[in-house]
Amino acid sequence: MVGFLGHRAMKLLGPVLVASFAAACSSGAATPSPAATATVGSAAASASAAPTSGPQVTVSILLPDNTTPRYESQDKPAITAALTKYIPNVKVTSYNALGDGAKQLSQAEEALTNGSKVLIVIPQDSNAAAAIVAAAHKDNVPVIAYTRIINNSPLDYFIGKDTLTIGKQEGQWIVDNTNSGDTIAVVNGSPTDQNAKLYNQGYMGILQPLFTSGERKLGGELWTPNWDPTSAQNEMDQLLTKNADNVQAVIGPNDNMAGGVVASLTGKGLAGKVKVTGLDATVAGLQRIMKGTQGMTVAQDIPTMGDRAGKLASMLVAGQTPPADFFQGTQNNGSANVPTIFVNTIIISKQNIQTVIDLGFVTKDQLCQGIPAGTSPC
Amino acid sequence: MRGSATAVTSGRTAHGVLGLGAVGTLRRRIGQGDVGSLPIVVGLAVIWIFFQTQNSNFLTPRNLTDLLLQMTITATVATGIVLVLLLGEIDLSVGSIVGLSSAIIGVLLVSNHVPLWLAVGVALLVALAIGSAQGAIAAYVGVPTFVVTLAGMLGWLGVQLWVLGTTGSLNVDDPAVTFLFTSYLPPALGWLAAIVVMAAYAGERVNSNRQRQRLGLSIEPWHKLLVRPALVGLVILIPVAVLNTWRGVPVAVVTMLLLVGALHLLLTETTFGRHVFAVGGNAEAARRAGISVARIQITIFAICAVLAAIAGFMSVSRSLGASTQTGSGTLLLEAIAAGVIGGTSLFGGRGSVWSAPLGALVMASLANGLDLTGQPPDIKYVVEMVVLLVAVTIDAMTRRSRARSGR
Repeated sequence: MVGFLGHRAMKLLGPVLVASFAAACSSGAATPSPAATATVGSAAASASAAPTSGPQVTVSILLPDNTTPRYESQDKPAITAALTKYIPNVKVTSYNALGDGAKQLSQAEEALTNGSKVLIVIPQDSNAAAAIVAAAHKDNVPVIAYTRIINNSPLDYFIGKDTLTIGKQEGQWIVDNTNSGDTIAVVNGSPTDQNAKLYNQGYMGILQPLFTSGERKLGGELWTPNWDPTSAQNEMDQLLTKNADNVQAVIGPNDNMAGGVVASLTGKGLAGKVKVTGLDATVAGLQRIMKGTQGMTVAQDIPTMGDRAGKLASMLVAGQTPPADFFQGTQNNGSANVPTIFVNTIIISKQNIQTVIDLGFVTKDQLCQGIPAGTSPC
Repeated sequence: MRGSATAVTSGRTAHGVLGLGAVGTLRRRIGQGDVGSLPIVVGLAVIWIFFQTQNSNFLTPRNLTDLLLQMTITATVATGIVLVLLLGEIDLSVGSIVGLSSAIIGVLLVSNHVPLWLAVGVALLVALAIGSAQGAIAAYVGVPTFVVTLAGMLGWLGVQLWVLGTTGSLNVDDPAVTFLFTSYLPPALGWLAAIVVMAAYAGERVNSNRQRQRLGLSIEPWHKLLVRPALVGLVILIPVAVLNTWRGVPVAVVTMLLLVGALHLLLTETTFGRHVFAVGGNAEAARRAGISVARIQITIFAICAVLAAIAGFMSVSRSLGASTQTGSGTLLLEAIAAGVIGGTSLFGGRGSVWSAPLGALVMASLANGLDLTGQPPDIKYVVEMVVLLVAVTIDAMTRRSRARSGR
């Protein structure tokens, strides 16, 4: 045991440091960023395709974290494939910020230093990423924000889902699948996430008038730090207690949290009797839909999203201005109206679950793992 | 022992056995900074009464059942943390170990169709190896446990993500797994268990008194001897009575309490346990007394990791699956807070494993009550901060008065 005093001080400091550490990592599904693994993404993913002998053009993809599986496993391959398809001689470099907004900025600077011509960014922090736009514009490099917008910046383009509309879709689905007088519990996402607030605006915009008129009853509304499924499960326990189990539907804003809500309902013998919404079309969520314990989820057309990003980048690299009809409109990010491509979202429920296989969102093997044979569509 | 003489004399007065004697002892113990779990019990009572006045559902058997289930996983992790805190060390990797073991169990069961015992066995062995390795690195290389386990927290999260692969989350609804959190002891069995525990405790006290008598040590009179078993009996029987009016005592809670009870016996009844307190009190003095500090440290970190793995299994059972988010979030922080709020000193050498379930119960009560009364998250965070600060303040203050009274 070395350095007795120092050791004691460490013991004292420990929990304090933990607390601040946890607080710093508390927004979003973030991984603390180990310096040692900082360049895992960038080193491993530098794929190049140079079939012809023209000068290489570098396009960089900046991913926010590696705890959300879709970024590395779906978005990156989709964008890379599209870039390779539309830009001959493209060299795609990708970076993963591992949940650290500051790291993402230095990765963007690294990409620019390496001569990247377009940055496709999923911002880790929608506000802090304004610095990425500023840095890129200094080098006259355009920035495409992908799935999450970058706020308060002269952002060039945005490709993403229409969060507000998805919220409305969730709300409308609940209205369509409940009866007059039914009680609806609302389990919101993370209070620190702008998207969670937009979803909330979306579904509450549909539901609030019905709560006011008395056509539906609000069975309580809670927010869930970090989109944590365990917290969602506890919250649902409490909402059921509060309403003496008289709940007919639950807004669960994403599939992981819907999993927590369904676990709570299962504990009370109510799973399958209460309508639960979801989002993201995760395999676990889709499987709950097949079993009937979750009502719906929302799938994003990631292949199309990646394709549009690749096409847009190809025009920018060639020095062309994309035609106005390439976009569906604009999105205000607080300081500019950003030309925006809204990607289609599809509501998936038991009736159309085959769609997710047909469109290649998941493979049949993934979907049917652990599901008894004979359950449609397995 | 300045206060003990007055306590004994006042204890002889007719009504004073329970009354003045207890008050005198209490005053002495507070004066000497040995308050144990008292602040927490008072705090818990305040919290419960407050929330009951705010929402009449709070103290219903149904909500108390929910509350116990909600705190079980945190309490299990916190028990390991308490063991580590007793050494004056810290383990930051437990959250990631919970996540990793839940991922291993989930993937082995669902993707590889491995039998349950094997899946759980693999997860426990992995945790055992992790805990032993972390303890050994700290003990032999001399890296502070704060850093070793911080590295572990990052690394095991990485392994968890790798084990889960691209899908990121999976459902487990095998009844053999969900059994733990969906089953309840039949009322009669609940009563029986409570009575067995009470009888065992009373028997143990009587037995140790006899031993003391044989060795010519001072013994406690009969009426004092049985006061504590009677109090413990109330603490067990009332909850059993309440829980039996709903669905019975949850099996998961019984499992957690059995684990805590076993570790309590390990700490208080064995040489190993005495060595743990010795090392936590003063590692250098313990080493000079011939205790293998390294062996104690490695064993404790291994037990802590295995408890985290058990919590990982519990998590699969309770949330009906595993995901990349299992074990992340505030679990680690809540487990440490639970141990400290429950009365285990951050300074090592003082505390009891029972502080883990007690502290976890306080944390869960707060979260539950704030949800029931529909509070926004900002209020939740602030309230948890206040409670944690009060708890560490009590810890620091009692430590100072201990130092003053020379204990």
